[in-house]
Formats: sequence, structure tokens, C-alpha cells
Amino acid sequence: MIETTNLAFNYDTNWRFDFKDLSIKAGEHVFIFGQSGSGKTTLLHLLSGILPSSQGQIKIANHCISNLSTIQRDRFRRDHLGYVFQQFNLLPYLSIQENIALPLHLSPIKKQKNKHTTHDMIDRIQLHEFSEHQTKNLSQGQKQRVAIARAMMGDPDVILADEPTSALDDANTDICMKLLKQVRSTIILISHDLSLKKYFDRALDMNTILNQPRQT
Amino acid sequence: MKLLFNLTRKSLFHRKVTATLTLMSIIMSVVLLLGVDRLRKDAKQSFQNTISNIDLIIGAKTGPSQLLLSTVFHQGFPSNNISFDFFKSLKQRPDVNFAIPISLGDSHKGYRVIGTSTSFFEHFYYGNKQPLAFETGQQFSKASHVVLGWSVAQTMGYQINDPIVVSHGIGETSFDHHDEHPFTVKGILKRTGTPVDRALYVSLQGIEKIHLDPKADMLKIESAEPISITAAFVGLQNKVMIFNMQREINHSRKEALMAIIPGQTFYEIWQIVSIAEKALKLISFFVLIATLIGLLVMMLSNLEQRRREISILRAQGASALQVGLLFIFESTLLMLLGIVLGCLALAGFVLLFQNTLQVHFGIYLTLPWADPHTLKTLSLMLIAGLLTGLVPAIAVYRRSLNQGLNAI
Repeated sequence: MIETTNLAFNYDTNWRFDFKDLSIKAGEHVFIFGQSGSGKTTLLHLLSGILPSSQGQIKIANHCISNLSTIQRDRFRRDHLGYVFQQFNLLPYLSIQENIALPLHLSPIKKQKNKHTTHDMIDRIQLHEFSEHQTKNLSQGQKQRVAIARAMMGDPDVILADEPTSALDDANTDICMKLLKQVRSTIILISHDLSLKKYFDRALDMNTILNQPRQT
Repeated sequence: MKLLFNLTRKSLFHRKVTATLTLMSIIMSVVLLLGVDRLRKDAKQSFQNTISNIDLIIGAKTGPSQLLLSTVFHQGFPSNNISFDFFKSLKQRPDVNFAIPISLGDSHKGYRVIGTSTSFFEHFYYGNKQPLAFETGQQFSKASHVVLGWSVAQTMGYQINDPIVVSHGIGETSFDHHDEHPFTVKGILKRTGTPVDRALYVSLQGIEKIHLDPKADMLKIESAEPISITAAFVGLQNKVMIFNMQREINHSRKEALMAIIPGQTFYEIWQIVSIAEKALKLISFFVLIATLIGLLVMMLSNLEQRRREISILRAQGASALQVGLLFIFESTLLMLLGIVLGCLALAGFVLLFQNTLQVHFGIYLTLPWADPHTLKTLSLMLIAGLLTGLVPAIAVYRRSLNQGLNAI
């Protein structure tokens, strides 16, 4: 499902990440942990096509995204990926319902594949009574639930999550992780919080993923 | 497209304070731009509409502009007079259709008093050959009657049968009042939007009367003829004869006379005034530029404020083109709203101040719609608004998603 080969990224001439080859099966839920600055977010951005790799190849669902142009990477991300951010990144002027439905409006493929109605999804995150409300008045936990629901819409092949629980308390962390576990998509979640390990099929330490010292 | 339009609408509403301020600046600019343009056109129109079917204005030798300005626009002072005998001979010529005597020299509270005959009300046309009409009352029939222009009646609040005292001289202030010979308001003219509105009309006998001894025989005065008048408005039987007659009058040896063709002199005066017209055009242009710069500044400063929003949309799959379109939609929507509200505000302003401007400045402002030039200006503004949105759109297109996400 996801395969990387000789993957590397240069931030500038003296800052480089070299990654060992990765192989993640379809539907596998993988937890990647490591300290701040260890390259977790860089890896996630490379896998999502937000950053173009400096070297090597990334293959996701039979698409070699390293060979794609920026516009093609944008389309790939739109049609095949779901993204959960640390800071939720909901659009404040849209309602919960509109935020969740946003990927379906942007991607015709996701709209076609989608098995959930927006209302089902809102029911699953238990925010039905607020569905028409804007997201600015929600609690941190509620916001992250909305963000996860948005990532799940359109049944993406892969969901990438960047420290999604760092702003949440234990109870909300548990709710969010259980929500994520419900999907059949491949999940890659990065965090420095080792307690999340228990929710995943496999855990990878960034130190074991990185090939070389970062400073060159 | 529907999604992008909804996102634009909701995002703008979310930033309502900035958006409202920008919208207000566009509204102000539209009002200024169209207002200045309207003022320029209506001033020109009012100027050109002043007189319509007079072929020649004949007066004593002076400058053509001075003769036109003093007799038609009531500006400046007339030079010498022409003899009434000449006027009578002019009237009797077979090639003359009508001749209207004009006698200047008196005023009422800053408004010119014009001595003339009843032929003035029959033959003096304005605008597109529109005859003078009475709002109330009728033309004068006695030496003691006066007919008021619309603005005079409006400003002074005069009604039919009100007494009016005329003063000697045509300055704003006079200390020599003809109290012994008051006039009675006999009629009030309908609005014309021309200097006709800002004058009082009495018979030539009325002018004679106020300059005579109060003890003079009033019955004789009713049929008295003046010795001289200021000018004559002439309409010819055949327009082809205008230049011949002008030449003939200008070379007259009996009297120092001058004949001018109103349209030609209008054009010459407007050539001088056109410097102000060009200045107004230039002001309009700079107002438009200032508006567009304001809109661009708002869009670019928003670009920084909206980094997060843009990055969220990009991360969710919106292409750079789609996000760029959001900016183009926003600038176009703001400009469209600004144009619509600006036009409404200007219409409100025109309706509110139409009378005041007419009474005090003689400019009859018209509503700005259905004018091809206005529609062209507004279309250009809309296109300029759309192009303004292109600048931040290109900036968004060039900015990588990673740059935006790092800013979150």
C-alpha cells in the first residue's frame, strides 16, 4: 500500500533527512513516534505530497507520487488522502456539517466513494445538536472529533494524522483514537506521546526510520 | 463554483469589519467617481440647454462671450445699449421670424430683473426646443406685473400677487431700491434647469416706470417705449440666412452693433471651461485608481491574515487555482456590491440635493442610470476589481502549501 525507497529530503544545504525504506500494508494502522524535530512532520508531508522529496520514491496505492507534478500531487492528496492536524484546522466560518462535508465538495472521487452521509458522521462524533453551529465555540476535543470526521469522509485510502491528540486531555484522546480505529483506511499517526501506541497495529521509532544523522 | 462562491461569501462575512470598511471605501469611490462625472455632464448639459431656438443675439459692440454671458447666463455686466428704433426695424424685417427685446440693469435681492416683451414667453425655448411654461399664474400684461423664475419663487417663497421691490444695479447688494414702484407677482415659470429659473421678468414699460418720476402719468407709461435696450434675441425665417445677417449687423454703420450665433459662442466659452472639465475627469480617474489600490491593499493584507484558511483548504484538496479563484471572487463580489450600493447612495444623494443644487447653482443633477458612459465606467470598475483579485490569486498560486502549513 505505502512503500518508500531511498527517500530523502533536504531543507537546505546542511539539513537533510534520510529515511530507511518503509513498507505499510493496506488497512494497517501505524504509529510513528519521536522527539520534536526528529523529522516526523517532514515524513508526513512527504507522504502526503505537501513536500516534494529531494531523493527516492514514494508509492501509495499504486501511485508513484514522487514522479507527480505539484498539481498532480494536489489532486492525489484531494482524492486519496485524509489529513488530521495538531491544531484541528477547521474553517471557523463554516458549520460543523459544512466542515465535515468539505472534502466531498472538493473531490469528485471521494464523493463517489463516500459511504457515510454527513449526518451519520456527525452522529458518530456525537455532535448532532450542534451540526449547524460554527466550530469556533466547540471545545478542543469536539473540534478534533470534527477534524477526524472530516478526514474520514470519502473513505480515503490513507489517513495521515500529525500529533492529533497533543492538545487533548486523556478522555478526549481516547474518544478520538477510538473514532480513528473505526476506519478501514490505512492510518499513519505521528506523535511524541508513547501512550498512543496501544491503539495501533505497529509502532515505529523515528530513530529507527532515519538512516543518517540529520546534520550534514 | 457554487462551493467557491459560498466559501467566498461566508469568509467575507467572517471578516465583516474589514470587508465592510473596504466596501464603504468602494461605495465612496463609486459615489465620487459617478458624482463627479454626473456633475461634469449635467453642468455641460445645463450650459448647452440654456437656449435653444435663438439664431442670433444682437447687442452693442463688445466681446461675444460677454454678450452671451450677460444676456443668457446673467453673468457679468452688459456693455452699451442698442437703440429701440433699431430693434423695431429689426422686428419688421421680412427675414426675421421673431425678435425678443432684453433690457438689463436692475435686480431683486441678487437675482437679475429682465425687461422684455411677452414674445419672450412665446419664442424663448430651452433644452431640446422646450417652450417656457407657467407653474402658476400667467405672463405680465401691465407695467406693474412681474413673472418669476422657478428658483426665485422657491428660494424667496413668493406667491402670486406678492409685492416685489426692484433695486437699481445688478450687484448682489444694492442701496438704491425702487420702493415707489413695487411690482406684483403675476406668474411663476416652471423649472427649466437654466438661468431662466434665476431671474425676474418684467415688461419694458415696467423698466421705464421704475426709472421715472413717481408723479409721472402712469397711463402714458403703460404704452411708453424705451429709448434703448441691452440686446435682442432673434429668430430667423430661414436658418440659411444666419451668417448673412450676422455679417450685415456686424458691418452696420448706423450703430455699433454685434451679432453672435449662440451655439458658436457657447462652444468658444466651453473650450475655456473645458480645462475644469478635464480636471474633473482627471479627479475621477485618480479616485478610481485610489479605490483599486485600496482594494488591492485589503486583499494583500488579507492574504497574510488568511494564510491559515488557505492552507486548510489546500490541505483538504483545494487546488491553488481554486484558492486563487476565491480571491478573484472576493474582489469581484466586493466591487459589484460597492457599485450597486454606490449607485443607490448616489441616487439618494441626487434625489435629496437635486432641488438645492438647482436653486443655488443652476445645475440640474440627473440620476446616473441608463447612460452608456456610466455603464461603461461601471463595467470597467468591475473588470478592474476582478483584475485586482488576480494579484493575491497569483501570490497564492506561487506560494507552496508547505509555506502555508508551516505558518499554521
